[in-house]
Amino acid sequence: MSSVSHLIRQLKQDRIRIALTLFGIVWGTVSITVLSALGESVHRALLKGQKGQGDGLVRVAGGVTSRPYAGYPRGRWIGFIRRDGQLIRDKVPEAELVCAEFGAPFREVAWRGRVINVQMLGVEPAYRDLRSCFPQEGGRFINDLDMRQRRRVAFLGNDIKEKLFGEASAVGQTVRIMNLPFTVIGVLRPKLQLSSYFTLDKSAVFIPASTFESLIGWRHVSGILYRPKDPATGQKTNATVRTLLAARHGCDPNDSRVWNVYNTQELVDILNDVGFGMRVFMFLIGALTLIVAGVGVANIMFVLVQDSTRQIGIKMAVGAKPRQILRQYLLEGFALVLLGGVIGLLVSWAVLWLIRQIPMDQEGLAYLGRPELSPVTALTVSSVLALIALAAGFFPARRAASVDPVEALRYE
Amino acid sequence: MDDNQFMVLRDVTKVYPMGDTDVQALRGVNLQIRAGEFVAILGPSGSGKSTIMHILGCLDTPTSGTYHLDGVGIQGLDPNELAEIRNSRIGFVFQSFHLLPRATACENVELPLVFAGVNAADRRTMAERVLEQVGLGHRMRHLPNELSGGERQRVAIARSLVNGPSILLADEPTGNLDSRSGAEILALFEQLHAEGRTVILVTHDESIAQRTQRVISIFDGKIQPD
Repeated sequence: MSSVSHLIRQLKQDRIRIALTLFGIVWGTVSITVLSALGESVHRALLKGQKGQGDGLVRVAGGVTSRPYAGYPRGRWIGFIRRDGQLIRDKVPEAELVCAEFGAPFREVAWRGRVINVQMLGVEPAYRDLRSCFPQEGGRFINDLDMRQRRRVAFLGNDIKEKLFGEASAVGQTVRIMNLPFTVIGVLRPKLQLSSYFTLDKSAVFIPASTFESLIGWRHVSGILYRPKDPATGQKTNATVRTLLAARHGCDPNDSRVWNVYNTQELVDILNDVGFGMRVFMFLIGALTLIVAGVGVANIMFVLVQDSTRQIGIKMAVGAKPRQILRQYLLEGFALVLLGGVIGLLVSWAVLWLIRQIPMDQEGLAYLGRPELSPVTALTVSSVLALIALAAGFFPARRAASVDPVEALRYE
Repeated sequence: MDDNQFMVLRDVTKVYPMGDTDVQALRGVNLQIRAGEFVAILGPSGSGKSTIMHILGCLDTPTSGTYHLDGVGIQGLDPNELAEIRNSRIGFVFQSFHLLPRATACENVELPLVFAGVNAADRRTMAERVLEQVGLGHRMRHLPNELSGGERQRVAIARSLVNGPSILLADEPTGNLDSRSGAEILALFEQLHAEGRTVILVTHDESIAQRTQRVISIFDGKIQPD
């Protein structure tokens, strides 16, 4: 009589008790799985949101010197110009997607009598890849020709397009910015963006940096953006850029007040820490639920052992070794937890599928991400289940193995 | 090995702690049983006869003294080793049968083979053969509660025989049976003894004890002189 058929027999006998125990394990498994998967997907969504601003992006802006340098007094304003961007492009091959940025004064943008006040940015073509500002179908981002010819073209954030045009198509239309006609060349494809220093890209209007210069007349750029090609040597790349610009502008490359550096990699690191903490937290909540269920299994196993003391005695009298009895009850506990775990994983898979069907239109829901039953989650949950199964089965099994056959057979 | 030395108890005592006091179940028992003997252990309730059977059957170990089975000292073996001996060399028959209530006659008989690690097909064949032998070939798929008392005891005897042990220990095997079934069971034990097994009956009934070759009387934890 194998322990599985024995278990089935017990299942028939204690149907309700076992069903409740199974439910506990299923519930615990679903909790830990769904919570872990959600933790994972929220973490992923946060990172994606951060990458919406730019993956591994560094922004240097000018500032005021805080110490004298080479005969100059402190308190000097150091500002960068577009040529500095070109200089980085030429001299620092470790930096890619170099892009000067003007921003972001509020300007009136109008279309067919509808007028809104929008933050306007003057940017260079590399901005598209640097900030994942990809156009929706049928549009394009600002290109080199726009730059050279200082064209009056505008790329609209998707929120701005919505406000001005509603459902109507925007590409090819003429909007008026500062009362001058601009042709709309593209609309931003919706993206998750977590942080910004001016405004979220979806609420901005972008024009070529060259057009911006001649239209507004600013000499200094607001910042120069780039991305270190290799994140591992990012610090070194940043130092090279600083030294280059310091030599050009006559200031100390180590004067931290000059270099208003904004480094998204640092934010990503923080988000990773937060995400990890959150996942551990979610996992612990789920694990606690599962442990409670494990106590339930241990409890019912104790009852089973109690009820079958005489049968254990009989088995021992005919030659069952204590370790065979131990193994039998361990396996029974294991089978019970395993069954609940498998059902729980299936239910979790279904629950996660349901969560993925929720429309993610709202900003808040978007951060739920798309929770999935990842191999990592499945593996951790399975290991936790196995541990609980062993622990829940062990103590009742040990009691079963320590039954004294003489004692067990003495009384009817 | 001298046949006289098959089962040897020397100065065996057994003390059970019972709350604050200790119960002295055996007070220095010396006993030798030959291989192939048909023995009755006779005594009133509480005399210690069941305790002797438990020790002879390796279900229990002496508090002091020694027990040698076929030359092997039993004291000092661990529970797993004792189980191994019970499984391979000893068959038990109890007054109240001690069958698993939710297992069929055949499954009950298979039980010792399960713990001996015999595969399912062989178990089935062996169990069926022994059940035929005790005259229950037609009742193999029945549950214990579908069988009469005499039939249940036959199942229990079949179970005790299935591993081919050389020793049968029976504790009041006819105690729960009507006289006719009891007589049949006793006849079965006589036959099993005739086939060469060592059979030890534990009983309080003198008339049953007289059916054996040798009666060992026990009273108050001590063997009475013959």
